[in-house]
Amino acid sequence: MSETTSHRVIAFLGSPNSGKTTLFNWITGNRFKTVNYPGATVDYFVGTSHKGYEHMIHVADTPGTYSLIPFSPEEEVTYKLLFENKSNHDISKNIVVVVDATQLSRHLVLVRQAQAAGFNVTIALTMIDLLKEDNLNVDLLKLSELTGCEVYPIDGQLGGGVNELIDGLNKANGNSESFTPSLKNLKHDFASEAQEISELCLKQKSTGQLLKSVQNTETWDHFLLHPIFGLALFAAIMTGLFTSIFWLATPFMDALDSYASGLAGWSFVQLGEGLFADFISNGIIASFGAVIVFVPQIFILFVGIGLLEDSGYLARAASLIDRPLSMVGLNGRSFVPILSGFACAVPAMMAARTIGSKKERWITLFIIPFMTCSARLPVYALLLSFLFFGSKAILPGIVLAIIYIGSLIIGGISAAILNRILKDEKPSAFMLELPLYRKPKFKVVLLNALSKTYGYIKRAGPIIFVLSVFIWLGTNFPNYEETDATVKVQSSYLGQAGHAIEPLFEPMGVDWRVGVGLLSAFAAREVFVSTLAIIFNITDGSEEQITTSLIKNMQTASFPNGELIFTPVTVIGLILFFMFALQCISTTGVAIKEMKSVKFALYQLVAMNVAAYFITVIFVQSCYLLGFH
Amino acid sequence: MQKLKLKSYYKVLGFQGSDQLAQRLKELGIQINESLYIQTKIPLGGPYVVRFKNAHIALRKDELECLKLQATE
Ligand SMILES: Nc1nc2c(ncn2[C@@H]2O[C@H](COP(=O)(O)OP(=O)(O)OP(=O)(O)O)[C@@H](O)[C@H]2O)c(=O)[nH]1
Repeated sequence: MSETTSHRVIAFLGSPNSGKTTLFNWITGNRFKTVNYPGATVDYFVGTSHKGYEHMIHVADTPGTYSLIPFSPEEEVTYKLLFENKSNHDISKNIVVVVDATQLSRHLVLVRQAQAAGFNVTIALTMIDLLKEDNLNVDLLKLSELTGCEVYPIDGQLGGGVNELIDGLNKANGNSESFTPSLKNLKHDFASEAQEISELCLKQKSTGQLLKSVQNTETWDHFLLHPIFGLALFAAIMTGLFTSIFWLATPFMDALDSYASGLAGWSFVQLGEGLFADFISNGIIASFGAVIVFVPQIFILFVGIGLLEDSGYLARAASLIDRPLSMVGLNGRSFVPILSGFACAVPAMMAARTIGSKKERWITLFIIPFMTCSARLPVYALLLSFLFFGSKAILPGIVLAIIYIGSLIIGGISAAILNRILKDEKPSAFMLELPLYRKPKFKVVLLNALSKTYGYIKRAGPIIFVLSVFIWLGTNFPNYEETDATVKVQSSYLGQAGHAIEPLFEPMGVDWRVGVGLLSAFAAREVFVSTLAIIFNITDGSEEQITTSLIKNMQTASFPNGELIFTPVTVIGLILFFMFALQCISTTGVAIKEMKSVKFALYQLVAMNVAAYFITVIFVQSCYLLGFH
Repeated sequence: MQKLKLKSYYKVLGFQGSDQLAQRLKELGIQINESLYIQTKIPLGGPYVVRFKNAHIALRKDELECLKLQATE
C-alpha cells in the first residue's frame, strides 16, 4: 500500500439505505452492520482503506441524509461534519455521494446540493445489479458529463469497483486544498434538474422487473398493513420475538448453567481448596457463570430484531405504530429506539437521533430505560426461577412476558404524562421511506448478532470482574480464617458497610446483602446476580455447597431472627424495583451526550430511582399489612 | 383536506403549507407534475403509504396536505 497523499478525510454522503455503510465496509474492511432499515447509521465513523488496496485514503461514513439542510439530529451529524467541522478531522473538499441507481432521479438531488455548496463530488453508483435485472443500465459517461462528477459503478454485494474508486479518490485528494463550503444555494429546488439528468442517463427499455419487485412489495403490504390482519400479525411477530427468548434459549441456558457450576466445583478441587481456589471458584467463576448463562437469550433477541430489520418489515412496523405512539407524544420513529431498548438502552438512545421533533426525542429518550433491556434479563430470570422453582418452564415465561408488556405500559404512561407537561416548539412529522421487502441475509444477521452479543460481554465483563473482586474481598476479609460464616460476614468490610445502609433497604423487605447487590447493580444491572452469587456462597454455603446454584442459597437465606429473606413478596418487590430503576452508568452517560443536557439525565436518574424505591416499599409494606409474606 | 382515494394516481400541482415540510418533500424527490400513487393507509388513522419513482414513503395526513394533488385516473 502506498502512503496517503493527503490526511484529509473524504466524507461519504447519501440518502438512507443507499449503500454507504456497505461501501465503507468494503473500503475499510470493517464489519459495521448494514441493514435494510433507513436510518441504521446514526453517527459518523472514520476509517482508513484496508491494507489490501494499493492506496491509503481516509473515509467517513455518515448517517443517511436526503439533504444538506438537516431535518433531524442524525442529519445534523452530517451537516456539522461538513459545515461546522468541529471534529478533529480535516474534511476534504472531495466528497463521495452514494447514489442508488434504482433511485437515480431522487438521489441526484443531493449530488446537486453538495455541488452547490462547493464540494468536489464523486458519485459512487450502487444497486446496479438491481437495475440490470430490469435490463436497465445507466450511461456512466453521460452521467459524468451531465453532472460534472467522476462516476464509479460499485457492486455492493461483491465489492467490484471499490479499487477503482479508491484510486480515483486518492488522485483527487492529493490536490485538494482547504476550503469552506457555502450554505447559500442549498435551498434551490434541484428535483427537476435531477429528474432530467436521470431520464437522459437511463436509456434502455425496462423489462418491468423493478416494477415487479415494487408490485410484489405492494402485494405483501396489502396483507402486512391490513387493518385487521396486519395489526394481528404485528402483535404475533412481537409476541413471537419475545417468547422465543425463552423457549429457544432454555436448553442452551441449562447447559451453560451446569457447565459453569461444574467448572466452579472442579477448579476449587484442582486449585487445592485454599484461599486462591476459593477466590477463583467462588469469586470469579461463580460470578461470571451467573451472568454468562443469559447470553443465549441476548443473542436470540439480537437475531430477532436483525431479521425484522433486514426483511424490510421494521420500517412498516414503525409506520403501523405511528398513530398509537403519537397519542402519547411519541412518533413512529420512536419504535425502533424503543424496540432496541429491549436489547440495550445505549444504542437505543442513539437510534433516537432519527426523530426530528425535540419533544418527541426527549420523551423517547426518557422512557427507553424502562424497557426490559438484556442486562435486566439475568436479574428477572434469577428472580423468576426462584419464584417458580420446580414448576413448568411456561410459567416464568408467561410472567416474563407480563414484565415485558408491563415495561411498555410504564413507558407509555410516563410518555403520556411527559406529553402533557412538555411544550412543543416544532410540529411533529413522520416521513419514512419503506424499503422493498427481501429475504433476510441470515449470515449477515447472525454475524451482526454475534458481534453485538460479544460487545455486550465485552462491556459487562470488566465491570463484573472488578466488582466481583471487590465484593469477594469485602465479604471475606479481614477475618478470612473465621469458621463461623455468619460471624465472618458480619465482621467483614462489606458487612460493616452493609449494616450502615441496611435501614434504607429494610422497608423493601430485604437485608443488607441484597442491599449491597442493589447498589452494585448501579454499575450494571446484571452485576446484581454476580454479587448475590458471591455473597450468598460465602454466607450460606459451605465448601460442599460450592456447586449448588445461587437459587438454592437464596431459598435458605435468612435474617438473624430466622425469617426467610427471599419470599414471594420480597422477590416480586425486587422485580418491581428493577422495572422502574435506572441503574446503568453507561445509559446516563449516553443520555447526557444525546440530549446535551446534564439536567435531563439527572431528572431521569432521580425520577426513575425514587419511583422504583417507593413503589417497591409501598408494595411490600401493603402485602405485609394484608398478611402476605 | 382534499378527499384522497386509496389505490389511485394523483398529479402534484404544487406545494402548500409549512415551508419546512414542503422543502423536505422536494428533497425526497417529489416535484411539480410528479405522479403519485396512493397505495394504502395504515390502520387506526395511521400514515398514508405513497409511491413515486419506484420508492415507497409513509407520511402522515399533515405532510400529504402540503401537496396540492389532482386525481389523474
Ligand atoms: N442488491 C444490492 N444491495 C446492496 C448494494 N449495496 C448495498 N446493498 C444493501 O442495501 C441495504 C442498505 O445498505 P447500507 O449500506 O446499510 O445503506 P446505508 O446507506 O448505509 O443506510 P443508512 O444507514 O440508513 O444510511 C443493505 O441491506 C445492503 O446489503 C448493492 O450494490 N446491491
